[in-house]
Amino acid sequence: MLGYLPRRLLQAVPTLIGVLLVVFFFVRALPGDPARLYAGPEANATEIAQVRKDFGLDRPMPTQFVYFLRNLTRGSLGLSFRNNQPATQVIAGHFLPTLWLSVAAIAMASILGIIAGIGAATNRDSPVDLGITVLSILGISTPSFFLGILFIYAFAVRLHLLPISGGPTAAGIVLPALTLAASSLGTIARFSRSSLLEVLGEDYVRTARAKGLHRTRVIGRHALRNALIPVLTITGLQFGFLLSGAVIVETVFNYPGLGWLLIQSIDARDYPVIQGLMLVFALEFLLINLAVDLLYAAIDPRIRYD
Amino acid sequence: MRHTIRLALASLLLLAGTALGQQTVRIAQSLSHNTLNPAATTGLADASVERVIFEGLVGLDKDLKIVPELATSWTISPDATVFTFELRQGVTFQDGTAFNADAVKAYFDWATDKNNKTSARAQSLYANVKSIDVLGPYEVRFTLTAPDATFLSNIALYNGRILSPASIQKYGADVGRHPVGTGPFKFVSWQEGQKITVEANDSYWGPKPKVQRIEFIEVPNAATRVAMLQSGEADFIESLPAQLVASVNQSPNLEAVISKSTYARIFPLNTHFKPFTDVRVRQALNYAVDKEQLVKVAVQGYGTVMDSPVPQTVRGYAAQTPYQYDPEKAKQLLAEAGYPNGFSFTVLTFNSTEFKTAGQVIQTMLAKVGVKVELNPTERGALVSQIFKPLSETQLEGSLVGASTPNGDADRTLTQSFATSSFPPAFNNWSFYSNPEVDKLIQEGRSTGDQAKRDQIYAQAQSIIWKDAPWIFLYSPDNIAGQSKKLTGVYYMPGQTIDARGAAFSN
Repeated sequence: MLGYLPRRLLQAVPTLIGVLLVVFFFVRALPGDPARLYAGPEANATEIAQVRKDFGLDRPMPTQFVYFLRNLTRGSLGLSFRNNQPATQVIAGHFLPTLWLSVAAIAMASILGIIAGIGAATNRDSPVDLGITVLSILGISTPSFFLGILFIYAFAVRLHLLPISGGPTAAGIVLPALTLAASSLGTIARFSRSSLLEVLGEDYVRTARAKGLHRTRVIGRHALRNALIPVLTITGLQFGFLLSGAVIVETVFNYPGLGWLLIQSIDARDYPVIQGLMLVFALEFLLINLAVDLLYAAIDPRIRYD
Repeated sequence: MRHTIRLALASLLLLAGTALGQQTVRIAQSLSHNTLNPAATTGLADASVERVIFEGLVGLDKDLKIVPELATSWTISPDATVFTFELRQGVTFQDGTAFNADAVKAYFDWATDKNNKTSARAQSLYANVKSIDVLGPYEVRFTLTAPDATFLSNIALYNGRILSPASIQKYGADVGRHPVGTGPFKFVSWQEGQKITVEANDSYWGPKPKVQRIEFIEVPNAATRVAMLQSGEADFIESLPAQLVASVNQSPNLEAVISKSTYARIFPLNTHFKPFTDVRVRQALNYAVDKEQLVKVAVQGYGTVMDSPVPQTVRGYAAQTPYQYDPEKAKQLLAEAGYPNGFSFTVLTFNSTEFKTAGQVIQTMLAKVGVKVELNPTERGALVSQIFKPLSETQLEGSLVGASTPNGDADRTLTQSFATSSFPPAFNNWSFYSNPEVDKLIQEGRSTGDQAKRDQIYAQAQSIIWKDAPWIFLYSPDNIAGQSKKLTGVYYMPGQTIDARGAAFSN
């Protein structure tokens, strides 16, 4: 276990270097000139040349790459083209709102999703199962921009119960989190249902029942622990996606998270921030996968890392 | 009992609060905030915030007339090279620094310094300033390298608004995050990606602000802006899409406010590519498009059909004889030019609703005279990199794009779009139109200090361009804002910035 963690972290290093290379050259391959976009349609060639120089884009690409790496070793991603602030600071400012939103959404999705999954599995083929299945599929397949607009119309415009936006405040987070949770909730419910059904057919569950154990105990103690492993994987993955910023939900609710920042930065071809965001996203997925692997061991004692 | 008293007190306080009225105006903007350094400002959202914090020597009112701000009067030499300003006395910056001729010189010297890395816009806009001389504590003189009658319009723009010299000293390149001006509101806070808050400047020299605070909120999504207006989270929203006007007007407390803009929707034809080398073909396409219909479909009628290359709101605009919708005449002109069966070409446009709709309408209309158009809707960044290719590299036959005249002066419209020196990548002459006569008139207009004479010169240039038809002249879209009916004194300017200095709530 103690050897495992550092080894996994070390393995991440080549991945991150690969990401760096791809990202640096990939953003520059995008059509569109950051200087032209920053200066706007009202700028003439002299101004654009000046802006390009201010951004350091007048240097040859290899030189830019060396500067980029040198900055990285100092913990800097360079200055944002869009607002001349350190890119690290810009990203950090949008990271926390996304983190809160993701945590709120994944908490709603996993708790409600697992409960719904258990409900459906234990009432297999009953109207309850059918209802949960239909709702889950609706949750997965309703586009979030549509669901978001419905929520805004109902809870903010009509009922004046909750604000549309307002950033990561307790009231401001409810609607975007709920919208964001809907699809994950559906996925998690579907997964828990099928996973639990599979486990319920296993011999050891039959044995537990034959022993005369109470139904709740059979499911809670014996079946659920095993059934949860695939659910955990999917929840981890969903969390990773949420953490990368929910572009659509953040746009609809005007929520200043990473997805919102990504859109703004791509629009402006803000290379330093786009590069930084890609690095952050890659890092998030690496860490979440690691955390999920470690959680396996906690849930299933048969899984050991050494 | 104690509980009842507490409750009564609370409701009293609440009542008092209501009596005082709302003190914060919340304005939802479509673009993001980048900097509050006037010398670096290129974005409309930033310019709108700066409008309440800063003032220039002169400014533009809501009809784009040049009006005094920190200068009380000015004189222009007949050859338009020397501009002398008398300054307002008794004005202080929000940090207590005195406003005077030295402050004006300090700002412009700093803003036009070639080594300044945060003033590219000011460096280019005021590139022709040779020297700034302090003639007295309240008198300052700008001397230009060459005649330029538009200099006054250019310092009336947001980039000419003056920063406290002390704040430049103190914050340097980061001054855009610590804005200090002489305006009616002062900077309070900036929540990255969310909003900028300003509060009333009680020591303002002019009419006192009527509200305590203004919040400028970034809301890029139009449907969300409308929902925020409807839910009461915003009092004023800009860039209201034409299709949502009805839904705003439906609610009794809200209204859509419609005004004319300095923007134009244009269809440049590459005059160096066949068949657009022939003026008859270009005129034919102008006759073939029913612009009234186009305005109805693309912007729900909220726009003005162009009757000049210059929008109606711009100083120096002169009306021309419209190209009346006449497909028969178009066909005849095409036949005369040797294209009785029409031709086909590709058009680059933005992938936004308005441009795509307009493109489809034009496509249908041109098909009726045998001209096949292939539309190529493209994301802004990619479009910009294609449209600014030089003539030697470009493959662009036509495009459906926008043009604006930020300083409200016809010189600007004509120079950027029709001067030979403005061929891409230098500037916006996307039709690669070149007419020595027009070039000469533009130069002449710029070297004339007398506005009446300039108007005549520009009228001549407009008439030539109109007949040469390097564009299909389309329409000027209206500016549409939405607001609470309680709010007064907030204007959506023709150039799509917001002037909220006079914001007030009526009850």
